[in-house]
Amino acid sequence: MENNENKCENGQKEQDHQIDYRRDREWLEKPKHIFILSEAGKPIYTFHGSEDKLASLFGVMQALVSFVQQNDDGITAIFAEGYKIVFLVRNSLILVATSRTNCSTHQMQTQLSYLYNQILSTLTYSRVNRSFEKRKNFDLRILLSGSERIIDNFLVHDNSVRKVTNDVFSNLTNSISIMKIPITDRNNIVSSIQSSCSKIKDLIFAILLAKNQLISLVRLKNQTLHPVDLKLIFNLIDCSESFKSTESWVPICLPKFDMNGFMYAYITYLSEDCEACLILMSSDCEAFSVLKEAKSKITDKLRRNNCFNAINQEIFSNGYNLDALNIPEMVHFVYKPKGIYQIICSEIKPPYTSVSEFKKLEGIYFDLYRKIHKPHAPLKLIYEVRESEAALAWVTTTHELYAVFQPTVEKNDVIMLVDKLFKAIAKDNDNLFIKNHPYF
Amino acid sequence: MSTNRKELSLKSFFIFNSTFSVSEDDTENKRLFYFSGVETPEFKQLNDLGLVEAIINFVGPFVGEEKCQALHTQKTKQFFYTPEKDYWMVLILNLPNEVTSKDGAQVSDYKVEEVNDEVYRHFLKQSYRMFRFFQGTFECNLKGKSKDDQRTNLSNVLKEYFSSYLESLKLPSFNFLTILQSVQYFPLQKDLFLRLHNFIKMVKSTFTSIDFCTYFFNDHLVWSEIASEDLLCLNEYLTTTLFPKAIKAEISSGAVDRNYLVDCDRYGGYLAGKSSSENTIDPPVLYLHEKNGGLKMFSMIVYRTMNGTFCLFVDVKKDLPNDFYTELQSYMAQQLAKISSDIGSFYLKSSPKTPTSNSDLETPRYLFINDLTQQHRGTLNKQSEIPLNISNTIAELFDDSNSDKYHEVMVKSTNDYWVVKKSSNHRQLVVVIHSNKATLIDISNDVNRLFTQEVKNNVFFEQ
Repeated sequence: MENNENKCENGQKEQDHQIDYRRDREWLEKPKHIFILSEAGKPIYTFHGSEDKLASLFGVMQALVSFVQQNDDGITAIFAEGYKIVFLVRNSLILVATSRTNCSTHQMQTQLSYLYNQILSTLTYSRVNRSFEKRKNFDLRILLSGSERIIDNFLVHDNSVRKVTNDVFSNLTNSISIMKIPITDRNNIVSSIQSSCSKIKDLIFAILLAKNQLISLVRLKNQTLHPVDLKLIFNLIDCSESFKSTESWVPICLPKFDMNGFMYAYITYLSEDCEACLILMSSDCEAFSVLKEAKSKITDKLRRNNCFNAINQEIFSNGYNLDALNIPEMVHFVYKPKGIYQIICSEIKPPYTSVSEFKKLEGIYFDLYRKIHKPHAPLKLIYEVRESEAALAWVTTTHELYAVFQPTVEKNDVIMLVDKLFKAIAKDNDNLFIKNHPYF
Repeated sequence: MSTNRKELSLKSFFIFNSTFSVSEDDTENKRLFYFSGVETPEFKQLNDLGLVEAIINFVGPFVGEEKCQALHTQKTKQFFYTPEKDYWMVLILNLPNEVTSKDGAQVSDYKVEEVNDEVYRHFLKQSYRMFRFFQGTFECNLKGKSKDDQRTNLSNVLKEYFSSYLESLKLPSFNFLTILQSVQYFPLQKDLFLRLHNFIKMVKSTFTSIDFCTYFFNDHLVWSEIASEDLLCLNEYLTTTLFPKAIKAEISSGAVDRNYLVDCDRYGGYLAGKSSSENTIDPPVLYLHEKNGGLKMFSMIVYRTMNGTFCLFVDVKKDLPNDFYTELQSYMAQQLAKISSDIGSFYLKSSPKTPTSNSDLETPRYLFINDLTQQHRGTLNKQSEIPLNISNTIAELFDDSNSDKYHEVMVKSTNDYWVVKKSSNHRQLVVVIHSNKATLIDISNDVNRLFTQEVKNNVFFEQ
């Protein structure tokens, strides 16, 4: 893990020099920081550096929060020129994010709230509470050890720290990316899972995903999986290389489903020739062997029905191709139908394939999203032309579209190109999105 | 279920300098001025101040203390500004709030988004500039022998100036115009422009003690020789204080109903100067910027005739002869009246027609802004009844703009207002159109038409 290595380096450096964070320019100038601490001011997590070296900083943050609380109020954000600091206080925990980018405070709060859920998914709400009830200055790191990498991984993806990936946009829009699969193949996948799992007691969800994209979700009747919970699962899979080599049995709390209880996830990749990950979630902690058996049935059926090919084709593809649709003036887009938390993005093309240019693209979308969803002054449409690109955000009753065009594009053509894209998406709708997650 | 709404209000406004306190025992020395409209216990004042100090200290290492701008809490927005080293001005606003009572329980909903940060940060900045315009810098008010005397003197000056400034403050009246930081400009035809130019040259060569002049028609700027930053303050002073007084006097004397030209001698007169009229005040002393950035004191003489206002600035160190005011008036009254009257006729012909009905926003409202001269013109003004969400949207569009590079943005709100902003080469154009039928192309065509017409019709873009 690139980021982990980086973190170790930082930690090592600080130990060597024992320097005050206020003098560590490199650390101070990081584009973003995340701090998590207890209400008593005990450090729990920092994205960069090591918590112990930052004890005084954690103390200041705790003091600010409690000072404002004394006036029966709550601190939400601090603004400086080109800099933002956002606070979130939840259930004995204080979460703080700083940013030099133009994402909104609302987006930063959503991110912090995700991190809070990430902690719950490891510990559950009641366990966090119990720990602090017993001892106010309890060191939560004792219970969290090992799961910092999961938080690191989410943060690396949430913002293009050094990766060029459309995952950033599913976080921005609070959505899940869906893998494009022909509907007949997706139906085959679903029925393979249904027929192999229908008789298993206490099985609640069966999830198949690849490349951080959902292939299918099958659920117990009347149970729903919140996008936040699904994202926690995505993140867990994404940061754990070990799942690829061995099947795993992992207790996990899905806070939106049940914040006080654990579920048990059987996690395994389908096979060497199809790198999709299957997650079977049960409320029974003894279900391992039953689920293992179900997995091998599912794998057999998928192979027999030729579903491996369908999945592999997408795993090796670069995503939705605008040139193939004959819309070359559009450089990139993010499309989200209303009412479902799903998006599709187009393939990332030059110039946005380099990290520095991709950061710009990300900045454009962050900006458009913040403006069009402003709580007091929401907008329907934004069209913006700059020297290097034209950008569009459009929210209607049926969908949201964010798109970037070549700067030379004419306004007349923009309307036509968008229309063309909408028609193409409508035609492919069944393959691009999942309208209803089926039951077992 | 019932809902009770509390509007935006001023919680407190204070000015402090932490270096004035040397130990734990004299922390109150930091506080130079504190205003909240109600009696506030000292410990509470120092608590408010302490929180701001803590925020600044916390943010400082990451970006530099001077860049610290605001703190948001669930119930307030607090704005910080450091105009001079170690001096901090703080404005704390209570957010608008809707309290809903349902089954005996009360739920408060604080309207964070209704209060645009940019607007109030600019307000805070402008309130400092106004102070400096009349009183000079904070630093130059540290008069006295001992440190204590100096601090007390500054404190007294701040109290005298800001108490009345804040008491007359009407908060919700700020909108995107606050952040424009430019003066409404009225461009003249070439021959009129030259006549005014020659007139001013003659006045200055005849009365050599006069350093600079500005000329306004109605509340539009026509001519200025002072720094644009000072012009903003002058404009605020004239439009909020001097003009309303003059207009009231003109109405009560019946001048507005008569033929101006015939009565020009009678109705022209000093608003600030020496005269027997009760409507005349002593020339105020103002601090203007010199070319090297320093401040220098000038007295301002203001003469008004036929809706034209002529301001003349004289270095306070110069002694004016006793007959200066009568000589000046007899020299310029007739000529100035004639020029003002001709400018008036041109104004009626060429000024942008403000749509008669305010609800009629289907006629585009627009504003041209020249960032280099900090001047603007157009039909989008204080009288335009633009919904708060649109005013805030416009403010936001100005927020992140760098008018140097080409940038065009068109947005459509959920209540069917289109706002378009184009900028390049330090010029900006903002257009607001209310239409539920128009398409992106229609609006774009409207804006282009307006743009071509304005550029063709006036010299604004040549300046």
